[in-house]
Formats: sequence, C-alpha cells, structure tokens
Amino acid sequence: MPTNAIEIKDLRFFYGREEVLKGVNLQVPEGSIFGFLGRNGAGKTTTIKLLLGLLKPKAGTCRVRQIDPQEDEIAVRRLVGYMAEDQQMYGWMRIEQIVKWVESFYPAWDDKVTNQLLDMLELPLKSKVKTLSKGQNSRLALLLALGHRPEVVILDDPTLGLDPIARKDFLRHVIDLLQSNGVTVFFSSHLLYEIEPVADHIAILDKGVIIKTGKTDQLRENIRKFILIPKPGNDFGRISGLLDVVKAGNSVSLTVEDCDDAKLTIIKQMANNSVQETALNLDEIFEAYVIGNRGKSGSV
Amino acid sequence: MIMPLIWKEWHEQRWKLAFGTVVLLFFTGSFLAAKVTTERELLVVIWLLGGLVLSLYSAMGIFAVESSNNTTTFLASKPVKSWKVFACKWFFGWLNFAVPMLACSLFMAFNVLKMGPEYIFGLKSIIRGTTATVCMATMFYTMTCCLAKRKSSEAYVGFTGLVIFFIFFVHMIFTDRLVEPALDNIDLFYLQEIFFFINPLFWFTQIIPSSCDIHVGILFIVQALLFAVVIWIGLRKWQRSC
Repeated sequence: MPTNAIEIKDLRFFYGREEVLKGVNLQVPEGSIFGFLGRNGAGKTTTIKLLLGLLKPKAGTCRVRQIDPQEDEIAVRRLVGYMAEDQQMYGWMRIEQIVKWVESFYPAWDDKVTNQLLDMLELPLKSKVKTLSKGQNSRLALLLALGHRPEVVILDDPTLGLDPIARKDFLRHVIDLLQSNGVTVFFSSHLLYEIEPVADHIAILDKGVIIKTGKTDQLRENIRKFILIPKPGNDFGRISGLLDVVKAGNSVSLTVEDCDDAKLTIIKQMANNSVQETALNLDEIFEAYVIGNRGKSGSV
Repeated sequence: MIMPLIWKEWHEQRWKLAFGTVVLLFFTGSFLAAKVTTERELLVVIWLLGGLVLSLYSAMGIFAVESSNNTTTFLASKPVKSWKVFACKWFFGWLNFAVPMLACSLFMAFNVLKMGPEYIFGLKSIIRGTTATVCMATMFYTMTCCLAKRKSSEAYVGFTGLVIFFIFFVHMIFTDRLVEPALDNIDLFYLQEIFFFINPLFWFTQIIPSSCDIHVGILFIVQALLFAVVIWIGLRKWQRSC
C-alpha cells in the first residue's frame, strides 16, 4: 500500500472570525509532484504554514511523514525544504554567509549538494542578497530549501513576481533538481500552466475547501467539454456532474465531470445537431471547478 | 541551535549598540568637561536619556524590522523553537540600551574613584541608580516591543512606546496628586502600592536616597509579574505573526 508523505484531515483554521480553512482533507503520495491549486486567498499559504507548525489549527490534524507539526515542529522543519511565497531574506548577508547561516540549523546539511546547486543555479557567492535580481533571489531561496536534502519539498507560489523568462528558468531548475530523485514536492500555485507540465497529482482548493483532488491524467480524462446547439426547453441541471454551462450565440458548451456513456446519451438527446466533444487543459478544468456556474442557468 | 540566531542578531545590532554607547559616552564626557551641571544631575539626565530614548529606539528596531523586511516567515520556518528566536531578539535589543547605560555608569564610577571620598556622590548611589534605571528601561522596552500591534512598522512601534510612556506619566501624576493623599487614611496599604508600582517610572524613585522608604520588594514583585505577563503576550504575538 503506497504511503503518504503528507496527510491532512478535517483541517480548520480561522483568521479572527473568518474561517479560511473549512475542513481540508488531503493525501499527498510519497514521491509525487503535487500541484496545490487555488485562487489568491483560497487558503493555500495557510495550509502550508499549518504543515510547518507556524500556525495552530482550530481543529483537525496534519502530518508530514507521520509527524504532527503541532507535536514536533522542529522534526517536520528538518525534513521539509520550504520556500515561501515571495521569500525575502536578509539583504545585508552575502550569499556565502546566508548559506552558512541556514546550514547551521540543519545537522544533515550536505555541502556537496550545496556546491552543486551553487554551480547549477549560477549564484555569485560574494554578492549581497539585497543586490540580487528577483530571479536570483528565487534561485537562492530554492538552494536554501534543498541544501539539507529534504524528503519533502514545499514550494509556496515560488515564481510569484518573476517575469515569464525567469519563471521558466526557475521551473526548469526545479524539474531538473527534483523530478529524478524521488523527493515529494508539494507545489502551490495559482498559475496553472506552471503546474501542468510538472505535477502528477493535483488538488484544487477553493474558499477553504478542497473541491477536487486526484491524478492529473485522470482528471484530464474524466472531464469533458461538449459543444452543441440545444433543443428548446432543455434542463441541463439534470446532468449529474455538470460543472459549467456557457452560452455563445445559439450554441452551448457544457463541462461535465466523470463523463460516461449514460451521460453522453443524455447530452446527445438534448442536442439539435451532432455533439462536439473536446478535452480540457488544466487551466480550463480549474476554471470549470472554481468559477463554473454548475448548470445554474438551467434550461435554455 | 541558538548560535546562528546569536550570530545574526549580533551582526544586525552591533552598530546600533556601538552608536548608542558612543553617543551616550560622548554626551557624558562633554557635559562633565564643560561643567555646566552637577555630576548627579548629569547622571540623572543620562539615565533618563538611556532609559527612555535608547530603549524606545531599540524597541523599534527589533521585531518590527522582521515584519517590515518580510523576513519573519523565513526566520520562523527554521528548525528552532520560536521562544528561542524571541528570547534572542529580545536580549539583543536589551543590550542596545543596557550596554550604553552601563558604560556611562562605569565612566562615572571611574570618576568617583579618581576624585576620592570627598566627591559629591558615591559608588553606592551610582550602582543603585544604574540598577533602577536599567530596570525601568527594561520594562519600557519590553512593553513597547511586546504590546505593539502584530506586524507593525518601526514607526508604529515607536508610537506605541510614546503612548505607553504617556499613560504611565499620567498614571504617575494621578497617583501622586490624587490617589496618594486620598488613600492616606484608608487601610489599603499593599493594594495602594500595587496600584502605584505597576508603573515602571516608579523605578526612578529608587535613584533618590530619600525615597528609600518605599517597599522595594513590592515594587520588584509587581514589576516582575508585569514583565512576565508582557513577555508572554509578546511571545504569543511573535508566534502568531508568522
């Protein structure tokens, strides 16, 4: 039975009176690259901070490799490599100083890996952190997250604020470094095209609730978009698993999850013409789940 | 795991510490040389300057700097207990005003020894005054950095410090002018003292030998309890500011 690197059960958290996580449940399989998707303010960073023991949950539990961060946050932080959203570091330190400084927190720090990373990420050792470009800053943050050879890497919107070239460059480094050596990567982002080529599993968090989780390939398989010219008076609401209905002129596009033959028959019965079926990319799947109108428009 | 924290804080605070020490010593030396005031008055001014101005300046640059530079999460996510980070930061902020004050007191003590027994005030009053003003400054510094709003800027922390000072100043006037005479005939001595000694400015009364009749023990206990509560609030705020 495959084990989970991260397990979250019924996790709830409040900022003041506002409930930002409303019972989050999540399993991140060992060795996977897990895309954690959600709009800004969905609760991604809060979930990550709870995983690291930086915040205390109101209810529920989370475990990283079977360790509860509320019981032993030091052990969790030692086995996790964490890169925060728009991570700022001490500007007065030189790169060699900050590497040495972070190294002293980790008994398992690997100098060989660090030197390899320094070469690969092309970081100028003598430069001060405050003189680095945003791209270099992100690469340094990545180096500091990986120097102790973590078993789990948590990247919280790591490319936030980078230009498209720097973003691609950064992702190339992440893929090169992490894809081959069996590390579990928990990658949060709201930029779906970032996650799509990398993630083998994804979860979509919306308003503090996980609304979909699964393997990326299966998700792509299970969700279909149908374009048809509907017969008058159709009630699309009776299609189970309907995620989105978009009208464009006299045609309608329906986004449906868990699409099987029975559903296909119903959809075909509603159409005045032949039904055009298309697969969706991750961007469209996310949009359907998060902002799709779920058949609220009802009959046409 | 506290060594890297000490290294970082030392590198961040050492110039502030040096600046405070040089400024306060320069001030002391210049006034002593100019002989514009008595040594006792000068020492009281230095203690006040160190105890209130330097401690406020120090409080502004300890926790708020991490929030302003957005480095709180980076620091807090390291595998080290949050109370150790908090204690280390608090201690280096404390050094920023305690070291200059102690340096000035040593300088004055050296003068006392040089001048001999006929000198206007002795080593005992310097030690007594230094201890009292460092205690007052410690309370003022701790309250300023621990009671300021979470994630507030340096300016906001400074404003909080001024508000705290103002409240205690008003409290001191209130107790001195209104409460103390009114309570003279009532048998509420200890409660009265607790109400008085919640104010760190009362440490300053310890400088003057004539006020030795107040219960130092009660002052110490009340202030120690207040310190523990304020530190606990500060630690909670630090833990929640990540």
